[in-house]
Amino acid sequence: MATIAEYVEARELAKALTLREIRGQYKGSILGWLWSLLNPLTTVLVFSFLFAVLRAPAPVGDPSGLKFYALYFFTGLVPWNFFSATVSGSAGSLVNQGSLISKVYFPRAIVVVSKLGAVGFTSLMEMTVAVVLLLIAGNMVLPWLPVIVLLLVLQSCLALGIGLILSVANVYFRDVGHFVGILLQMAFYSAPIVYPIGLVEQKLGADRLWIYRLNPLVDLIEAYHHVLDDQRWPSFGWLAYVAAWAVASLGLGVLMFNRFEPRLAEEL
Amino acid sequence: MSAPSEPAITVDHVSKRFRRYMVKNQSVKSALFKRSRGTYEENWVLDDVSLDIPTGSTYGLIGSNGSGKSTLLKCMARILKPDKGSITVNGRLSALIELGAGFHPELSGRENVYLNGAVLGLKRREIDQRFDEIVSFAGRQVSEAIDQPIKTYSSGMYVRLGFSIAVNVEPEVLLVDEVLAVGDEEFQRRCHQRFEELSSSGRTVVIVSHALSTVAAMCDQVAWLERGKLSHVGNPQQVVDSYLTRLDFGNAAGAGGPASPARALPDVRITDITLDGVGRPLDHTTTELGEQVALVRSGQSVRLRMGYETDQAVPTPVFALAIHTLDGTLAANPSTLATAMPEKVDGTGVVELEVPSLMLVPGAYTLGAAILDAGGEHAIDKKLRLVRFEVAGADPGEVRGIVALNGRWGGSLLGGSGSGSGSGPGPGAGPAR
Repeated sequence: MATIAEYVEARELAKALTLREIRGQYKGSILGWLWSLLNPLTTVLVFSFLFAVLRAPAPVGDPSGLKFYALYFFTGLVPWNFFSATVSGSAGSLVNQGSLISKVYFPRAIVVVSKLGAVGFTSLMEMTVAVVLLLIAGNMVLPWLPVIVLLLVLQSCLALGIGLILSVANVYFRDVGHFVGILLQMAFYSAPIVYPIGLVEQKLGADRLWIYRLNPLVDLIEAYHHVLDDQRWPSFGWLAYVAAWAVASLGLGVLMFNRFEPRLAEEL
Repeated sequence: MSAPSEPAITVDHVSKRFRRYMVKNQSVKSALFKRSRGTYEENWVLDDVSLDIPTGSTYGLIGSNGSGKSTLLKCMARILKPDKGSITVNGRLSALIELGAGFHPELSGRENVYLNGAVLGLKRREIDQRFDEIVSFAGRQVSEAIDQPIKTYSSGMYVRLGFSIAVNVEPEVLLVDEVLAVGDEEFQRRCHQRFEELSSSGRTVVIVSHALSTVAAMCDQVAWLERGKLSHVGNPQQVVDSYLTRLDFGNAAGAGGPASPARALPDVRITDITLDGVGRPLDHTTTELGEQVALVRSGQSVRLRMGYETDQAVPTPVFALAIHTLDGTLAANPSTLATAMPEKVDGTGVVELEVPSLMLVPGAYTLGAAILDAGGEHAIDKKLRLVRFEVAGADPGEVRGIVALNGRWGGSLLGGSGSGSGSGPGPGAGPAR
């Protein structure tokens, strides 16, 4: 089991592996990292088109008054992509770095952390684009940026914990990686990304909405919508609930990772 | 050397167990249904190994494949965790188990130097300081291509760059596994130099290798592992020699087994191999291990003889002899492939090779034999390195290499047949290339 001091010692390696991931990803492609922006933008385009065809009303920002479906979708999609890419990337990370793990010693969680770092870098760029678009649309989001940073940190903890668990599980059972893909696809529609939360409220009734909100992803994404689209404070009660999930996930992840870490080199 | 301090590495009763899966369940489904992760057998790759590696020493680990030496090295490097016992390391450790670990093919050589350096535990600042040295050590080819993606490198360049980073890490304890044998001779020479520099500056170097002559020459101490147990520890030459002796016996005992068992080859066995002097009997000498072995004068006339026996008649087998140096280099390998032989061989018999002049430089050698099928492609029986013998020199001026030319020096200085001008076609006086 690696000690905290070792992780501090290995921060340079974490940085190097993160850079390796970021630089290696789009090497040799002409558009480079622009691809990482084109991808979510295409998704937005497709869903906006669908929304328009279905003649669904765009959610209205309260109190900002923003009424623009594509932007609503994009502000939910960016944090979702961050979560989803971290979780699925972490799941395969130890297996993908198998040759490194069986040849060199370093605190193994660095692999998962650097995955988070690389995905986080892409997400930050996407978030910057989102902020610029919102500013153009007339939402003064700049004063809210500290809250966004806080949300990103919260979300990183949640995703890292899950990633740590899945990365180890995938070493022992290679199905985990495939399974995660399916689960994430379902999770995408379980949170208010494509649709506004109001739609669920209508169907479920306000007094039973809490059932829907038990999924921590719901209020995590909703918090981004509140801050970026509506420009108001998110529900602190539910945010505390998300934070509890994040802490529990990280705690469990660290516990499980440490338990299996010593045998990783021979299992890979 | 300073006063005896703490050992650099203390290996304390270390055991390591590997599971070899007969059926490995890597899917959830099979794990759920069979309630296990597969059937496996456990074997102890390391069994209660204890040793101290003194600070500042160069230490060799030898042993045959599967003896556990690489596993021990990986345990020292903390890549693997011992199941029993503990390993204590004093000082910063760097392990060279694979060159260029973590290299990304799409990134440039420059970016990969930083990446691999970080993998080996260097800070960015430290790599900055060493960057020029690393690149120049790797050679001109690499330094010209340092900003090209590493996937465009030849395998030689790749390895040279990897090695260059690794030896420039300057750890207090360096573990090296089998990577010495890389690159051309010029590069190898520089590598050796670098290892010597490291050890003379008080670093501890632990080397796992099959290159026994290198180990014997470089190391201060050698440990020999056999089937996970520590067999001998001590003086490099002695341990290497006793290892080689054991290797011979091991081969003799298991002979016939590894010689392509699937093929239905006719059955001919080597019964014995001997070495005699022609004209006069050979002298004997005693090895460091107290064995009596034959002593041949370089250039002496000898007769090599192998006995064979068969169960039934065998069509034209090929008989071959092999002389190896102690580090495993094949020095001579005469065979009857091109010699007219009887149509078939039956019963017992003897094949002899008379050598008018055994042209070997002084040193220790082994004699072995093999019987091959008619085409000379497949060994029917093989007993390599069975008989050890030593060669003593006739000319003290000729002790290196393998072949002793036993020639006679001449030229103007020696009053021989030279032209007298002093610039005759003597050695080293040819036209410059």
